[in-house]
Amino acid sequence: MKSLMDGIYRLGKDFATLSMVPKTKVYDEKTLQKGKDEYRLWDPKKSKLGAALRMGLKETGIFEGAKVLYLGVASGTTASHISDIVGPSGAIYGVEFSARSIRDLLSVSKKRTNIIPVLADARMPQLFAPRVEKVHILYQDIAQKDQSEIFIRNADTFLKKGGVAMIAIKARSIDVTENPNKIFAQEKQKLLKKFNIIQQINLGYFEKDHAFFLCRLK
Amino acid sequence: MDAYISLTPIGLFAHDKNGSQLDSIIFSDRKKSKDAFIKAMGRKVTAEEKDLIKKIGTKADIIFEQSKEGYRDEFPNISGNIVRENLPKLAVSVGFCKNASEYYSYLHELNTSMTRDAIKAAATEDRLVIHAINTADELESTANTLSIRLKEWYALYYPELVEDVRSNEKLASMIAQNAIRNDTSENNTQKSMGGDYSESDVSEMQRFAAMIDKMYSHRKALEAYIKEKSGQIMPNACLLISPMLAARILADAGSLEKISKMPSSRIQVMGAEKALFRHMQGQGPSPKHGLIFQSPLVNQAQKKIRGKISRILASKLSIAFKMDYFDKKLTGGNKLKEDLDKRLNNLKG
Repeated sequence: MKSLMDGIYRLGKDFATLSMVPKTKVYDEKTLQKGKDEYRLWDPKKSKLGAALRMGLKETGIFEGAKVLYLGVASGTTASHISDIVGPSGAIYGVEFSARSIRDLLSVSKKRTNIIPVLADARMPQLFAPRVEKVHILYQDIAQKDQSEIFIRNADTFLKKGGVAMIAIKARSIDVTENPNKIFAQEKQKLLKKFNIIQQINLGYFEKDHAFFLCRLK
Repeated sequence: MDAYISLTPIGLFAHDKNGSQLDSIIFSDRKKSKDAFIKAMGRKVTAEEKDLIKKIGTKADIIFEQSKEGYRDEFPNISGNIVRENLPKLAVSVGFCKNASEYYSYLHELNTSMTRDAIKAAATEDRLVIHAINTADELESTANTLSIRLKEWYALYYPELVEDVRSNEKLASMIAQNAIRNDTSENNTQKSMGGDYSESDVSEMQRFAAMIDKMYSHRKALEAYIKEKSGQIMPNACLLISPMLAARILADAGSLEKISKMPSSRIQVMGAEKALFRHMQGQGPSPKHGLIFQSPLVNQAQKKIRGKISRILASKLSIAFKMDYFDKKLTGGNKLKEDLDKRLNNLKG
């Protein structure tokens, strides 16, 4: 199996991660057995990071043993793949505000102990700061009007020097009537104050009106 | 001198403004550390925090990261920035645990336990009403869909009854009670034109009808339950609109907390999103009413003043929902109802 980036493998046009907990599916993803190893295919329709990879994301910055702060982890679909990549020595702080979604996450984090569930509002980092630590990677997927501001505030507080930050921006949560490209340009300006943008990806038909930004802290 | 205090899962740390550590309190007892940590997350100053402040010395000006009664706070402060840089290493160096993996398993357990508590706390009374009203609406629409099938099926045997009884609910209950048609007459024009099926065939139709009948009666029972529950958790709003409508608005908003924070203009057009977004894109007139159209105050008014009435009703409703959420009992609802009636009378007069 050819490794493309740290922990991410390519199978035809699909991407996959080497399962940390074989024989346990997180969502109804497809799996592939290769000898002792089980690979979990990354469904681009269910995970925005998966979609970004399919649309040509160059790197994720995620490595084995990395500490990740994941804002808007929901039920842990994307987080389960990140969990595969960072492995048992890494940690993912999964912040989610919805009690319903994080209930599903708990069953995932029970087996994947590198996912640490945090029920909190990402808008108020001071309220969950005592429960987390500084991280190498910040990943955010929350559909809120002030998502860029939330992203910047959390990067300020929790991202280590030179850390990688990824955000999926949903244009429809910022303004339903405005042209999405206009919104992306405007959000990009906000991000540029804090980050160097390595890559901007349109998630295309996998997620309508979504842009994915890969950034590095200035 | 300023002393910055930060909270971590392993204990409290204090640093001066240059970042050198002044002192710390480590939660040494693993069993109690969870409680100590959760308490320290609150606004009250805990015993451990008092100890730490005493250790630093009273002359210091204390600055926390979270807001604390009687103290300054600043987020993030220098102490927090230092301790969060490498917590597992810190935990090992202060002797809280032997290695990083032990720290992470403690952290996982702590956060899982806190999350479980928070999920428990989120299971509130308003969630019950939301599920009940959604179930009631789904039951009704499902029963109506199945009734179409029942009509076609039973009409094979007794088309006259199906023709006669217009109401789905009544038809299901009639068939469930007695499915056998009654036509002993010899006169052909009065005889049913349905097929002569065997008793076992008809009883299969009857069983299906009984199930639909059960769905309708279940819905009725649910309605009684919703009325009671809505009256309990939204006593003020239920004075202005029917408990069923209050429940529907609650379900659309998602929670009592959310609706208590909504402006009345939002409540006015809830449920009319399609028209609202069409309007916002400049493609149509603004919607005058959404769900609150179901209130007889709105739908029985003259068309000309419906917009005004729904605006007035929504404004009073938004106040009522705030009372329901924050007071949790009947407070100013009666006054609101009076105000509403007065304004509506002025409008008509």
